[in-house]
Amino acid sequence: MAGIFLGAVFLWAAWKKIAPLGSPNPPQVFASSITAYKLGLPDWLVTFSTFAVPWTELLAGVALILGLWTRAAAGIIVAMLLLFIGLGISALVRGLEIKCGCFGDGTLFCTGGLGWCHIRENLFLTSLGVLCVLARPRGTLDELLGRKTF
Amino acid sequence: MTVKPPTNIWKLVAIQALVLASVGSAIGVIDAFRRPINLSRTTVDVNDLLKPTTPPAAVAPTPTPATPTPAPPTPAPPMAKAEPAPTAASTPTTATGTATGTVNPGDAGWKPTPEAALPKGQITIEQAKRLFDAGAQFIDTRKKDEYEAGHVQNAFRIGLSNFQAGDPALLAMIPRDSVVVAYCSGGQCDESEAVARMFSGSGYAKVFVLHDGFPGWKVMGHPVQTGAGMQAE
Repeated sequence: MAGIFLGAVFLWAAWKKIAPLGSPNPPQVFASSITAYKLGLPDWLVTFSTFAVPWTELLAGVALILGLWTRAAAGIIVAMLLLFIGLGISALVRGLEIKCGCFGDGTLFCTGGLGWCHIRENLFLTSLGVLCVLARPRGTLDELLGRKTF
Repeated sequence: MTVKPPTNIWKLVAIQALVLASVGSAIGVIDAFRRPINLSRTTVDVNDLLKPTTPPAAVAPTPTPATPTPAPPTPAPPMAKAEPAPTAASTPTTATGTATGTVNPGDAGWKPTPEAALPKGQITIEQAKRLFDAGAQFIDTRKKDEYEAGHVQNAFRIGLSNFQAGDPALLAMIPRDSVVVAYCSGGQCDESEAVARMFSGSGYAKVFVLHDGFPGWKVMGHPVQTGAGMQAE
């Protein structure tokens, strides 16, 4: 259940950042969210992150929902969440008044600009991810297919 | 029944994670080529727009450039570097420096940011006022309650999130050859730059950002209004 919930959250988060697929606006908006963190990243890395992060989130989310490569998908999500937590704390400590950008223009539990609520939200999701990595996934495609990584 | 996982399970998990991340990144790179994004904003030099126009009376007709520029209603003097005296709401006389980001409009010692200190594409309050007088469209990028509490007169409220699913409907009311000035709260606020980039990406060539934001505009006593105004959904 934790995996399905986490997968669904990340699938939704990814979709909010890249859909509609025919419009340049969603990635443009997400790119603005990345640059708002004022990390001093070169343009090519901002562009790469703008597209690679949501598509990887989407694949990992789908994999978790389907129960395929569960530990690996959860591991990717945990790694991403730890990165987002670090970036969020950095932005808060530096006093930046920005939006999280985590879910495009949507919200999960926390509303408004980036705040400690978003950090706690990500920590909660990280805990679910760690659970999916460490626990033996049951009722998943991995188990049905007899894969070694379950 | 428990099944002891193979000892190389974490190696397999790592490989699977690498494959997932690689495929996601590859799809992302392809998507990046399909719909390129703008990370910088190109715009015309605001001083070119603010140059006084030549009176046409005694001069033989000559072809004029096709691009319309907002002409000031009266011939304007060359733009001065010094800002006009602020209103009684602030105390500027003895302060030195601009203290951008550390002293807020309305605080003792605040002065409008001079042009020399501005990033490319951002304009001073005085430049914004001259564009306002020439009919530029101001875009308020702040939150709804902030906008309704007070905004530049006739400004539209359009936030970054309004561009998420495509250009907001309000853009149909702003001709593509308009001069657009985006603003937010000044200081650390980045929303106006982000919205300005979206306007540039949507085909607007004359987009500027008011560096000192609404607080600076208001402190200088320039036209403001309250209420619902025109807001993007």
